[in-house]
Amino acid sequence: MYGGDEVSAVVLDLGTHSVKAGYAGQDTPQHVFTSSVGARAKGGDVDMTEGGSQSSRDIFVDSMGIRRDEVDVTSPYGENGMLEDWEAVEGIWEHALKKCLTIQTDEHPVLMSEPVHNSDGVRSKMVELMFEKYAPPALFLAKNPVLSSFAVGKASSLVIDIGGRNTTVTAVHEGYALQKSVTRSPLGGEALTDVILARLEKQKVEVRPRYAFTKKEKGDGEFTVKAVNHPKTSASYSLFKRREIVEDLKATVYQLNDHFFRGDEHKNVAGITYELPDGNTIEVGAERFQIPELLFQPDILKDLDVNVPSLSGDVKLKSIQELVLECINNSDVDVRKDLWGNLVLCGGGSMFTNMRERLDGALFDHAPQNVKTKVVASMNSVERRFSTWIGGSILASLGSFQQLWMSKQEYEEHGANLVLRKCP
Amino acid sequence: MSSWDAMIDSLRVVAAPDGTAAGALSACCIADHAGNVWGQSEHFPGFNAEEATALMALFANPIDRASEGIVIGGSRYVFLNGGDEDGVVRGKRGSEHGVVVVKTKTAFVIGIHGDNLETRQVSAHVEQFGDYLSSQGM
Repeated sequence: MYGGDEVSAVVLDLGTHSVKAGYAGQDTPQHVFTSSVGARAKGGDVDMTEGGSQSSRDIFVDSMGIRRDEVDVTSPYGENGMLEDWEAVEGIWEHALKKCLTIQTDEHPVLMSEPVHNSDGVRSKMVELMFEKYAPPALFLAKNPVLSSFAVGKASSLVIDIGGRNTTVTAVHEGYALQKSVTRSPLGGEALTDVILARLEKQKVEVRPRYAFTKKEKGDGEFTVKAVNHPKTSASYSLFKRREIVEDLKATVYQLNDHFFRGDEHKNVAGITYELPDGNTIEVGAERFQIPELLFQPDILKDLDVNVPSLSGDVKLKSIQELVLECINNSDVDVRKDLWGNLVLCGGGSMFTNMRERLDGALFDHAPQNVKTKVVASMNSVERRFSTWIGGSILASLGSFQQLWMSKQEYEEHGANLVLRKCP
Repeated sequence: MSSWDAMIDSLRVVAAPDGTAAGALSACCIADHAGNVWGQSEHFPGFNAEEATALMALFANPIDRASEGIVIGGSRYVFLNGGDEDGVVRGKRGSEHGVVVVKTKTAFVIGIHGDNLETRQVSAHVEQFGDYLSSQGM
C-alpha cells in the first residue's frame, strides 16, 4: 500500500560489527562492509569525504584498507550498545544507499533493524534522520531477534544472537520481542577477538598489520620483511587492523571443544600452525579450545590473565546457558515450553565448530525435565551470519506487511515519535 | 450512556494511515482503574476489579509481572511489551488475537482484535484514542 509491490524496499542492517544492505526479496545482502568508520577532524588534507557538509569531521566509510594519517577508527555505537555517533551513522547510510545500492532514496521504502534494547530517543532519532535526509516514501524499524526468528521461518522462538559487541538472548512471540525478557552479555565475537589478541601480545607475538612492513621476494620463495614506520597512524586504526588479522586467525584455528571443557584438558594437544601476514608463524595449542569456551564458562577469563576493556566491568559475566535460562524465566509462563523447543542460534559469533551441539548439550542440562529442547541453527554460514538481514528481507516482501509501514506523510503529520506506536 | 456509545463506536474502527478503515476491533472497552466499565462494545468479554488490579501492577512493574500475562474478561494474553513508561501494554493470544491496553490518568482503553488486524496497527490506533481521552482530562 505504502511501500508498494512495484518498488522493492531496501533492507538496512547496521550491526555492531558490520553493515548489511540490499533489496528485500533477495536471499542475501548485496553489500556487506564494516561498521567501523574512519574519522578525522576537519582541516587536514581532504581527499574523499562522505557525510554532511556541516559536520566537524571527515568520515571515511568502508575504506579501512587504506591507511590515512591521523584518522581514528570509531564505531557508530556507544558504550550502551545503541547508536550514538550520528555523523558516523549518516556516513554509513549515505554509503549504503547512494554508493552501494545507488538508489533514488525517495523511491524506496527502508526497513531498518535495531537492537532489541534500543531506547525511544534513539528510535525517534533514527526515524527523523532517515526521513529528513533521505525522504524515503516509508520506513519501518524491526528488532533484530524478531527478524532472525523470521529468517528461520518461525514467528515464535528464543533467539540467541552472538553478535559483534554483544550476545543477546530474546524471547520472540508471534512476531514480537518480549521486551522484558531480554538478557545480554558483552561476551560477543569482538570480545573473543580481543582476548586472543591480548593473549598473543602477552606471549610477545607481534601482530603486524600489512601497512606496517614491506615484503620483498629474495628468490627461492624467501622474503625480506622490513618494518615501515607510520608515526601518524592512530592507535585505533592500528588496533582495527590487528583485530582484522586476529579475526581470520579465530575463524580458521579456534573452535569449541565437543564437550564441556575442563581446565587440564588438551594440555598435550597438537598445536595448529598459522602464518601471520608478515610471514611469522605461530602455533596455537589448548587455547584454541579454551578461548571460545568463554561463551559457556566466562570464569576461564581469570585463568587467561588478560585485561580486555569490554569484559572488565564490575558485573559478573554470564554464560550463554545462564542468559537463556534467565530470559525464559523472564517470559510469560505460557510460552516457556514453546521457547525451549524453538531455540534459534545466529550471529557472526556463532560460527565456531561444535557451537550448535554444545549449546544443545548445555541447555539440555538446564531445561526442566518434561520439556524438549531443540536448537535450530542454519547449516549455511551465510544464513547464520546474516540472519537479521535475511529476516528483514522476508518481512519487507510479505504482502501482509505492506500496511504496517510508517509513511513519510504520517511522519510529517505526527512526527518521529509515531514510530514508537507503529513499530512496537 | 449514549456519549460512551459514540466513543466506543469510534474506538472500534481502526483507520488506515490514509484515512480509510483498515478494519474493526473484535471488541473494546473503556473502564476506570478500579475495573468499573464506562462503555463497552458488543462481544466485549468483561472486565473486573481483580483484572484491573493486576493490570495496574503490570503497568507499574512490567519486569516482575511479565510472566503473569494480561487477563481481560477471563482470557489470558501473553504479555509482549510496554508499561507505565510507554503508557500502554500489548499482548497476544495464539497467533490471531491481540490486546492493547492504554492507561490514561483515570481510565483504561482496551482494544481486542482478531486476525483481520495486526497488533501493531491496533496499538497505534488505541494509543491515539488514549491521547484523545487524556486531552479531555480523563
